[in-house]
This record gives sequence, structure tokens and C-alpha cells, in this order.
Amino acid sequence: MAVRALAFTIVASIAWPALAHGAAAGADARERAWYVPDQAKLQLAGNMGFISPGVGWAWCDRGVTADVFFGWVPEHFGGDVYAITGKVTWRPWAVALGRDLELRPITGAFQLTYTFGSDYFVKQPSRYPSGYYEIATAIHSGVAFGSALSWRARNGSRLGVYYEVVALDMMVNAWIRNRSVSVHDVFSFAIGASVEF
Amino acid sequence: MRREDVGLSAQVFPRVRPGSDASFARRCAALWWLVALTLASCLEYSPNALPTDDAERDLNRKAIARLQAQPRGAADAIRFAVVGDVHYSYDELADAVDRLNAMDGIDFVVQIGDLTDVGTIQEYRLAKSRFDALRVPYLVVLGNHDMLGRGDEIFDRMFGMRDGTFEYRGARFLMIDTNSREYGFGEGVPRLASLAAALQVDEDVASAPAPALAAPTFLFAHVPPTSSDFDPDQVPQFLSLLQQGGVTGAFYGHEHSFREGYEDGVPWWIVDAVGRRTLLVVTVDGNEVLVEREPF
Repeated sequence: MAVRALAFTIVASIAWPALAHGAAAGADARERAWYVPDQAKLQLAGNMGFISPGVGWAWCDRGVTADVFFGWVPEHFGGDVYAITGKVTWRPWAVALGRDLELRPITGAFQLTYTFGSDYFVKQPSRYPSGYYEIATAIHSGVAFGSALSWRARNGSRLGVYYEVVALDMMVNAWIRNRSVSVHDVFSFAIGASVEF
Repeated sequence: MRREDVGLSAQVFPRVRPGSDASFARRCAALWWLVALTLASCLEYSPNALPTDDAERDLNRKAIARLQAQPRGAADAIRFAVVGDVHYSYDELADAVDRLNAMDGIDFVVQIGDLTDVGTIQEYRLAKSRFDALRVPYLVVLGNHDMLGRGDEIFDRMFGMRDGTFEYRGARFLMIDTNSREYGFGEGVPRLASLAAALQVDEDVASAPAPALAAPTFLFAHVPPTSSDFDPDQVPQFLSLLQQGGVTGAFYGHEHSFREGYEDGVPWWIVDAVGRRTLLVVTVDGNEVLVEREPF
């Protein structure tokens, strides 16, 4: 199963954004259908997977983006874990560094991850009495703060890199309830690359 | 891009002008990058990822080995502490560790289960980091919350020994998985056959109380047999095994609130959750067993 998952991830990382780009390039920007992605991303870590490919959509002059990532953690890195993550990112300010370079100094995101598999549940299984566990183990929310840098190519598309520091729901909870828990305990690091069409 | 889009974004998300504003923004971004780097501890792939580092594997077995190698005078009493459910009480846990480190003569510490609240690797690591400050070895018993998601597999790899037994200076210690409800009732948990083997009791022989054994025997489990989360069909045989096996004392958690009792000749104690700021200190001197509640 792991081999198939690896093959899928490689194919998805290349094929999905290529298809999306092809669809976008084939249509006039003004008439691009709503479901055709504006961008594709690849992220390392961030509690959504090991290396997670994603596609996204942008609004407000690329100041607000929504992305969907597929995440897989291979056995070697503590998996197998398969997950899907929805993320909404606010990138309010854009700084022009020269003609083609753009910096988004502050980004803030909210992410929701659903992990596949029978180990996890959204609604607790019947072996538990009502209200036994008041959590959905399959779902984790998180917040992420970071910055993004992008370079505008001649054909109008943008190549970018970004980083984030990510905190998950249960760790934010631990931080709020405990003085001895530091932000260092709570935040982890993520980096990614993006292609905007 | 439509003109209306540009107009809207200019109002909502102002662009910073190139020039001095840009260099200031660049410096802010660089500072923010440094802040972010220091804020974040490492790369995390998933809250459900297993530990892969050697330093996070087989910790129960390693603790037992370290314990059994501890030099101790033969005449010294055995002294161990039992710490209750942790969940999110990391501050209190740190205080418990400080208290235990200040005590004399503690040989080891047992955490009675529910080390975590939702069984994620981050929680396991956070609790472990508090316990690592202990001077003496510590053992972790599997709790029901620790099994959530992939927590049971994380436990198996990080601590190991859902059921286990070891000897230390003439006393016997058993760790038993009593989280019946997590497996579903009727799935054979607790595993009575292995409990019988650990207690050296022949299950098939008609129950007659065993002769008083020389070795003091202590049992640690998360869910007490009095709990509705303990498989009711297993209770009579479980208690009978404890009696036949000559268990000197049984320690449980799960209920968060101290209780003590006596069942079929076997005394038992339920330890407070760590959040209630008490733990149990047990002193075994020959045939004498003293259990004290210690505030911290």
C-alpha cells in the first residue's frame, strides 16, 4: 500500500497542478471557471502530512487564498497516515521588492485536517455511551502564521516560497491552560512552494 | 483581473509603496522570520505520527532495566510513587516531579494512565518531557484516552508493555491493560490468561486461596474493576485472580478522585488525577505496606 501511496503522491504533485495550469492557461483569465484552481502548492510538514500537494483559489488580489492539501506520512516518518486539509490564508499586505518580486510579510491561516482510517472518528462509535468523548479524533484544527515570497515570471504566472509556524488545537489548549507550556512547545515549522497561474 | 477587483483589494489590503516602506517591511519580515524560527520547535508531520527516534522507543522496558540496575541496600524499604491521570495538567505535573525529586528514597514512579487527553504524539512528548526531569525511572500504564486515534500505537512504540510484569528487590509488579471499553466489551480485555501467567496462578484450577506468598505483589492498571468501563463479564475472574495470586495492593486511576477499598482480601487504591495535586507514595518494608497521600 505504501508503494501505491508514494506513486500517487508523486503523480499528484506533478499531474494535478499541471492539469490545473493547463485548464487555466486554456481559458481566458476573466472567463476562468470558478472550479479551476488559481494555484498549486507543495508543503513540507505543518501537521498535514510529510510532503503535501495542494491546489487553491485566490481572491482579493491574491490576499485571501483557500487551499486543499492531500497529506501522507510514510511509515519511515511515523506513518502511514493519510489526511486531507482545508486551509484559508489571509495575506493582507504585499510589498514590491523590485519589479517582479513580491513579499507578503505576514500571513495568517486557519487549517482543518481530516485523517482517514478506522482508528479515528468524527462521531464516537457505539461502544461508548453518549457524551463519553466530546472530541472528534479524526479532525484537528490549527492556526498558522508566516510569510510568503513570490517571483513573477514573464508569462504572468508566479513562483513562490513560504514558511509558517503552525499550532494545533489541543496544543493551543495546553498553552492556554498551563503557564509552563511555552509557544516553543506549541508551534512547529512548515515550508512550502507555490505556483500561481 | 477585473478593475473592480483591484479597487476592492486596494481598500481592504493596501499595497506598501516601494522604496523606504519596502526596506522597512523587509526588515520586519526578517525579524518575523527569526521570531518564527525560534517559536517553532521542529517539523511535525501529523498529530497521529508514531515516534521514530530511538530515544522515544521502549521507554517502559528501558526504565525497568535502569531500575533493576539501581544499587540499593538490601535492608532498604522499597518505595514507589503512583501519579494519576495527567490530561492537560502539565503545570501540576511539573510540580509533582519537583516534589518527587525532593523526596528521599523513592525507587521509581508509575503513571497510572491517561498521560494524554486525545492520544496525539505532541501530547505524549509534552508529558514525557515533564517526566524526564525525574531523578528516578518512571513507568507509564496505558489509559483509555491514550488509545484515541493512533495513540495506542504511539504508546506501543514509545512506552510498550500494555501488559507487563517485572521483579525488583524481591517484590513483583504488574502492569495490566484494563481499558475494556476501548476494545469493545467481550473482546477479552483485560487479558486474563496473561494475568494468570504473570501471577503464576493456574486459571483452570478451582479457586482456592493461594498460600501466603513471600513476595509482595503490586498491580497497576488504569480502569478499576468497579468502573462501568471495565468489562463486567471479566470482573469476577479478575478479582479472583488477584486474590489467588496474592496481590498485596492494586492501584488504579481513571476516576480522577481518590478512593480506597478492600475486595476479596486485596486492598486497592484509586489515585487522584494530577490536576488535584496529590499523589500516592507506597512504602514496602518486608510484609508491611504503607500507602500515603502526598500533596504537591
